[in-house]
Amino acid sequence: MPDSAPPPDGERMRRWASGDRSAFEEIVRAWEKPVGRFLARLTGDAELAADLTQEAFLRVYLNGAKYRDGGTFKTWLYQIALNLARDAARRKVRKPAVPLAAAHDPPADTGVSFDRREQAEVVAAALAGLPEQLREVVVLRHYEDLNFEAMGRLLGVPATTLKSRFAVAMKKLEEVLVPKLS
Amino acid sequence: MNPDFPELRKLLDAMPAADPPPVDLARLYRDALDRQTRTARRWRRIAVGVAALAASVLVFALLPKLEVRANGHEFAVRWGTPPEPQAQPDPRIRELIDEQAKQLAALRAANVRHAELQELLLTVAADVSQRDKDQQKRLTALATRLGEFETLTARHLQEAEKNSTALYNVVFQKAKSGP
Repeated sequence: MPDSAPPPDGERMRRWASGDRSAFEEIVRAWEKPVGRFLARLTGDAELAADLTQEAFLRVYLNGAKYRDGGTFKTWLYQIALNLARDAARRKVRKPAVPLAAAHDPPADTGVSFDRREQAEVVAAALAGLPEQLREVVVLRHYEDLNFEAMGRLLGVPATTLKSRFAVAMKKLEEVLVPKLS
Repeated sequence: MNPDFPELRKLLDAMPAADPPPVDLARLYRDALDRQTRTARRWRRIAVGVAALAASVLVFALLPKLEVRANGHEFAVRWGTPPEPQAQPDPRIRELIDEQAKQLAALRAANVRHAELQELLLTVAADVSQRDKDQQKRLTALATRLGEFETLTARHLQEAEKNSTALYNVVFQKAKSGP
């Protein structure tokens, strides 16, 4: 399910660069949910994703002067988030991860079926089981609805390579998920 | 196998995409200030470290040559060895040098004069030689003329003798033959 694209942010960045702090806060409010969800799906850890989202916008605040209006703001922002996720994976933070599915367990009285919750856990686990490069492509293509060219600019990898990786990742997920959940 | 993976995509959509907690802006600004302060402190430390390193390099380079002296009312720091005091030259050496210079100048002048005299001698010798040649030529010409004169004189004498004989014959032959 693709996230709705926030309105263009070049104007907000220009206002912020000229000293309007409220423009920065508008940027944060517009992008915190998409970035948060992106990091959650990428890391598979809801608590880590929240920390990384906070850090991502801190870096946006500290490096706002380096942003050049030629590119898209989303690419720049997601590049920061992606780098944070990769750094976290390399550090291998040893704290009990709050699984993505469990973090979003609906309250007991909402009537959400256990099957749906279990299904979400299986999907999250399967996604987390993919190698980092394949998982990134799946999250960016399926959940963020980025085309392969835009993904190529973000990841610094040719689009054709990313298409191959996506096909490999989807095949692996299909082999794991379809027999379990169909 | 369908390359679009429709069934798989439905399964992937089943994974919840709950909203994360909102970004804490107050904490963000505090963290930003803290990070900027730490960065500035780090750069100050680097600058101080570099300055200290440069100073220590300078000190270690100068230390072996450093001399610190403190008198009653004076404090001096010196590095390197002071230059040697220049010795005053002996005045006699100066005189000898001047004398030698004069002699050299005189010798050069003498050389020049000698060259001039030699040139003159050669010129005179050449002139004498030329005059000798001219004189020789004149003598030769004179001798030749003298020879010619002698020849001419001899001829004239012969003719004169002929004429005398002829006249004698004429005069005395007539006398014999009487009136």
